[in-house]
Amino acid sequence: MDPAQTDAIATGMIQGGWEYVWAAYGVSWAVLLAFAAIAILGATPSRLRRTP
Amino acid sequence: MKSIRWEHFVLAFGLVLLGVAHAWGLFYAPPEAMMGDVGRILYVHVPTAWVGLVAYTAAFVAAIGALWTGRTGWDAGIEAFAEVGVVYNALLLFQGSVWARPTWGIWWTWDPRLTTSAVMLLLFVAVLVLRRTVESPEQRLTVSAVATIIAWVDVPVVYFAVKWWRTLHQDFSSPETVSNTMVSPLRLAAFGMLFLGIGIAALRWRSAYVRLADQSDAPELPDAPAQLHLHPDREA
Repeated sequence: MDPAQTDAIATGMIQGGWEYVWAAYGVSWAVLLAFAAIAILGATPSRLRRTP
Repeated sequence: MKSIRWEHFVLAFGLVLLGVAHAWGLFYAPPEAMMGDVGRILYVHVPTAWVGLVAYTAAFVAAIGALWTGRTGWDAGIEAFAEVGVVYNALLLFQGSVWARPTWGIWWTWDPRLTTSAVMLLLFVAVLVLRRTVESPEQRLTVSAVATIIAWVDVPVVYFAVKWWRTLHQDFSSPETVSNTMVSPLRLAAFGMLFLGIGIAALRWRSAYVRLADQSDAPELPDAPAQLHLHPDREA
């Protein structure tokens, strides 16, 4: 174990946990990209044409 | 009609800023002193919260404008900003729950900040559902504007919950409470999330406006038999 990691454990720092980080970022990016795509596709010129 | 609009550029700019900020936060910023790498959720969670509250506040302003003027543009604003707020709010609760598990040891607790945030989501989902259930454009404008104003009352409660009550949730995240090494990626992520939100809201506003204007301009269906009987001479 490297010295920096030993120090981190000694101070009580939470170790690992990247699976939570990737879950938070992955789901957020997926939802935001899907929402952006829905917004773009919902405002295409053909969809914005007023019904006569 | 142009196929590329300013909203697309704003949206793309927001995505680029957010991508750079998140790469910075994930791979270059130092781990948080107590939370370690889990603390990196900060760069997605806090900007989501800020922009969600801004979107709800924009919906509140649109609601006042709609009641004041009765114009379809403001009514479409309620819908667009409430939609953005609801998506950001749902993400906020998800990210918070994922962050709570390794740091607090639980997925959820009825803490004032968490509870008021969940209530805020339910209130604005109710606004959007209400808009779908009222058919008359005039009634929909009035009812959804009033509902939006009532729902917005929870927004400052969410913001100040960490000050008003003793909560498990940490205090406001700002340059004063966040380490210098974390401020820049956090600020960049906030601007990225804001531009992305503006781009999406503007596009949703445009499509909502066209749909609502169509509904407002649609002629009333005539009560054909009664009219024919009342004015038979006009048909000749």
